[in-house]
Amino acid sequence: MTSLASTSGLQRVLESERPRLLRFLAARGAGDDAEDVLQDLWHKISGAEARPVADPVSYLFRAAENVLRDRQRASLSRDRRQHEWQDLANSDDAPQGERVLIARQRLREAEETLLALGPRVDQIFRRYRLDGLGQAAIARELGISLSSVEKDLQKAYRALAQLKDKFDAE
Amino acid sequence: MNGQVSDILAEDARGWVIRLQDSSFDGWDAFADWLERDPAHLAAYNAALETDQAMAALFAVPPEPVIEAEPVAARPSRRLFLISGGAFAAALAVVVGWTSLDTGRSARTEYATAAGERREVALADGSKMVLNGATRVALLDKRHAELIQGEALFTVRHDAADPFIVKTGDVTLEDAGTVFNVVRDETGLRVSVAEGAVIYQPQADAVRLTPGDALSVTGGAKPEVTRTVTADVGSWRGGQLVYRNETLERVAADVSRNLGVQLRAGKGTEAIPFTGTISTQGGPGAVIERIAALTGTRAIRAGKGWMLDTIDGAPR
Repeated sequence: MTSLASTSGLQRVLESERPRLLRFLAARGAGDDAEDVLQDLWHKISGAEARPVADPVSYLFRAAENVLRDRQRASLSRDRRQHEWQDLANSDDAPQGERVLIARQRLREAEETLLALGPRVDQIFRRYRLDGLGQAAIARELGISLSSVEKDLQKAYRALAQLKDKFDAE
Repeated sequence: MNGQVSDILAEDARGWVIRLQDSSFDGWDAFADWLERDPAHLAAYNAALETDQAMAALFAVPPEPVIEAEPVAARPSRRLFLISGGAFAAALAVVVGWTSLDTGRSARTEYATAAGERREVALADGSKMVLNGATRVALLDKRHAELIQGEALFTVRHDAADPFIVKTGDVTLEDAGTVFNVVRDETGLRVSVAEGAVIYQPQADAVRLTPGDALSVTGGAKPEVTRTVTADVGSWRGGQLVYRNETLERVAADVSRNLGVQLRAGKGTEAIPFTGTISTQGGPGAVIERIAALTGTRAIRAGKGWMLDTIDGAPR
C-alpha cells in the first residue's frame, strides 16, 4: 500500500503521529529533548522542497532517529571536549599521515575479515551497508532467501564488531 | 560502554542496527517496545550503533594511490582519474575479480555485472573497459569487443593499423585513439566520446564522433548527434549521471543499471525531457526521491521496483 504526502501533508502526519513519535524518542533516550527533537523535525520537513514520500510514517520515524543521532553526536563531542579523554587526545596527537596509514591498515583487516566469512557474506555486506540496497533487493539479486541475507549480515556485523574490540584494545 | 554487555544482548542490539538500516524498515513500534523492556537495551543499541558507524567509516578511507601499469595507456587513464577523483577510487574498491566464461571454441571471453555492480577489465594491449551495472561485454579477440547489453567506458590504446572495434547490436564502432562510453539498453544506443574519435558504422553511415560528441539512436530511427561535455563522459563511475535534454525513460534505465533497482518511467512521463545532474550516492531510496523532485514527478512503488508517475496522475 502506498500513500503519498506533500510537505504540508508530512506536517499533518507528524501531528497525528506525535504520541507515537514521542514515545519512540523517549525509549530512544531523548529524555527531556523529545519535544525539541520533534520541533527540529517540524522545521526540517517544512524547509525541504515539496517532494513525494512513499511512506510518510516511516519517513518521519527515520527522520526523528536521524535528528536524535545528530544531537547525541553533538552533545557527545561536547562532553569529550570537556573531559579531554586521554585516548582522544592521543589520537589527535598522531599526525594526519599516520592516522591515514592506520586507517588503511584497519580497512585491509576489515576487508580480510569479511572475505574470510566467504565471498557471499562480503558481497552482501557491501551491497547492504555501503551501497544502501535493501535486504529484499539483495535476496532477489542473488536469488537467495531473505533469511539467508539476514544471517549473512549478522555474521558480517558480528565479525566487524569483534574486530573493533580488537582495534580498541590495540 | 556501561560495563560488559552480554553477548546475547549485543547480538540483539546489532540486529536492530542492521534492520534499521534497511530503507523499508517499518518496525518502529516494535523497536520502541524492545528499548522500553530493559534500560540496558538502549545502552547496548547505542554501543552497537557506535561500532557500526566506526567500522563503516573505515570503508570510506581513500585507498592507496593506484599506479598505472601500462605506460601506453597512462595518459588517457590518468586524465580519467582526475575527472572522477575520489569517488572513482572508492568505486575501484568494490571492483571484484572478473569471471570469464570461456566457451571453449574460441578466445571469446564474456564479462558480466549485476545491476548496481561495477567491474574494471584490463585488456592485454593496455586498453581498458569499465563495465557499469547490468552489463554484458564479450571480448571476441584482443581488439574486438561486443557490448551485448548495458554500459561500458572504453579507454583504448590506439593503433591505426589495427583499430579497436566495438560491436553492439547491428552497429559497429571503430576507435581512432580513444576514450568513449557506450550504452545499449531497452531505450536504444548511446555513444559519447571523451578523447580521440570514434567512427560509427564505418562501412555505412561512417559518422565520425569527436570529443564532446554524443550520438543517440532510438528504435530504427536515424542517429542523432548532440554535444556533451567531455568531462561528463563516463561520469557514472564517479556517481554522477549528467543529462542534457534526455528522456525520463533513459534516465530511469540508467538509474536501474547504476543502482541495482528497477526504476521505470510511468505512462505519460517517458518523454519528459530532463537536463541536470543526478548523484547516485546515498542509497537507492534517496536517489529516487531526488530524481522525482528534480523531474517534477512522484516516485511510487511498483511491483519489486519504483515508478516515476505524473504528479497529477490519479493516486492508486
